[in-house]
Amino acid sequence: MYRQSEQFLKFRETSSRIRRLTLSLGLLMLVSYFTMIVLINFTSTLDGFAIRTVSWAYLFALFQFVMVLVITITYKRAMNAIERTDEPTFGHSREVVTS
Amino acid sequence: MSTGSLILFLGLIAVTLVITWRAGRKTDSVGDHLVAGGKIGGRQNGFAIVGDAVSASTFLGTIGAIALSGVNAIFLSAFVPVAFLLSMLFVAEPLRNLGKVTLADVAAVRFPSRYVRTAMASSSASISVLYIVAQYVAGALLLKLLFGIEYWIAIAIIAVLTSVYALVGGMLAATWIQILKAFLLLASVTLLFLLTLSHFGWSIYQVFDSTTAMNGALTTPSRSGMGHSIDQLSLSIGMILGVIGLPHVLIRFLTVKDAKAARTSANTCIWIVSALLVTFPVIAYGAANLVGSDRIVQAAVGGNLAVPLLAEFLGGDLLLAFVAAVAVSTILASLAGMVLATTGAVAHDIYGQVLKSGNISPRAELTVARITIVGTGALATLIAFAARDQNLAVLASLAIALAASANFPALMFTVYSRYVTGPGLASGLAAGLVSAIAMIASSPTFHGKDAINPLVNPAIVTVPLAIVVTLLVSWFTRPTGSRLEDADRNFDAMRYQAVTGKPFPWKQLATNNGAPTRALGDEDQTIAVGLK
Repeated sequence: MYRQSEQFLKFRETSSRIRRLTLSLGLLMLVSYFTMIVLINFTSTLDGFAIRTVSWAYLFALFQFVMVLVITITYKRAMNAIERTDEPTFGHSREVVTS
Repeated sequence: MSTGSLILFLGLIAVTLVITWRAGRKTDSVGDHLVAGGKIGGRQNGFAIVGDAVSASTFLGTIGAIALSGVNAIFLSAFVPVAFLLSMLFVAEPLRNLGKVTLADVAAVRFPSRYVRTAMASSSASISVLYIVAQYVAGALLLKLLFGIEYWIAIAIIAVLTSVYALVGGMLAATWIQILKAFLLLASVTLLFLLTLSHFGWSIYQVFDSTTAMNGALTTPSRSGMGHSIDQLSLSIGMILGVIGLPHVLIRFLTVKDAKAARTSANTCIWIVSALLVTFPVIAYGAANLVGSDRIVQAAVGGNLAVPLLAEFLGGDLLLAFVAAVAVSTILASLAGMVLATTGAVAHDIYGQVLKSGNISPRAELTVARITIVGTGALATLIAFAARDQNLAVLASLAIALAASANFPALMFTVYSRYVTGPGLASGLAAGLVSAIAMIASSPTFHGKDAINPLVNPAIVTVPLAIVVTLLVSWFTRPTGSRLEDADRNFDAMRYQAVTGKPFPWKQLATNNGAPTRALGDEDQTIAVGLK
């Protein structure tokens, strides 16, 4: 069976690595974003001012932008590393012909 | 508006028409027309996605909402980069590796049956048409306000321009117009941000201090009951997941050559969108302080004209004309992409693959695509006339809710779940579509306080419902015996292609008992190539 072949097992391992990476980063972002939504809409935790008249809610919203950029950098670097270490699976044919 | 402003606006339209004419000379196949032949560069596409991400409703609506509602509307600004990050993580690369010209192509790689393609194409076409109508109405109202022309003339101008972009230049023109618009948007937001700060001693703190002194409720969160809070949560869920299901946004990932370019596109878009949207609260508070909340409310319900009013205050007629031209070009550029998404669903999926079973020449498919572009424009024009007095937010939220409830679960299940079946996927799509329409039709938006359904935004109910229906129907229709083996092989082959971009290497891997026992359907060219 193809599932026992070395090539397929290698692919499964790579696929699992990518899935773990995307799931963990995606969940991290969702938890962060929906924590902000829940805290703003259901509690008074973020009501106070943090710096002068900038409220904690704004700081938390700004934190979402920082999180997005950090996760973007992390994902790009991790995917580049995966593609470099697993050259046989990806090869040079990730290009898809359209039309 | 002054003559100079009119010249600026007409000049911008002339530039977009030149782009369209030049793109039209390079467009001669269906693939060219609908997804630019996959020839757009990663960074270029990233800028084009910025155009879709920061639509007129985001640019005008978000700033207006923050100017009037304060920090409670901040999620409208923060959700966009989050949604595109999730798109990059979960859909951009698989979509590029599996899709050809439409979203239904992706589902067809695994489920080649006609009903799955029909369900996916119908859902995509419905969402796009709703979005087109919302943009037509928004654009027409903006043109009417800016130039004082009749509503029907404004609709006609928008319909003609959009159809010309899509008909002559196809996706290549739509992409370059979006890129132009992204640069103009960056310029206008930067100008508004800097000019606003100049009125507050170049201090962001001063902007917040003045706003708090004027109306403290704008800078601190407020809550108006559990029902409203749940509705806000539902809106956030719908917005985030809806972006991942919007056809005109997702087909942008099909316009690049490979998965790496799709990742670059999303990466570029996220950086630019984050840089743009992080300035929105300052611009919004600038509008609240300098223009005044009363004048913003008087100009348009929901604060949609806060940005043009602020531009007029800061830079007179010239800056107002520039910002207005950017706002209208924003609508026109996004519309061309939406028309092409609808065209792909109708011409390629429903006509070419379902009605003609794939037996259609490229020339015939291109002809049908062009007829569909004209038909979509005509249909949207008729609906836009009827929807003249309809609340814009209802049309846009219905489209987003449908995308979140139907397309998003279907795409995620197709790409990531081994246990989902074709009937399960089609049922989930139908459940998401029908439940979202039913919930909005029975919401306070249409029935006020007497509504049976207290939620204005349905996603918190309809997304889980679509997921549960998909899983339940999949469980009841689960394959057994040799069909289970085939389903497993199908899934493995799809995953292989989704991750690597290459067809599954059956020849190298399959022994006699590894080959499939059943043909998978001739509609699915990708799998068919892999299985031969």
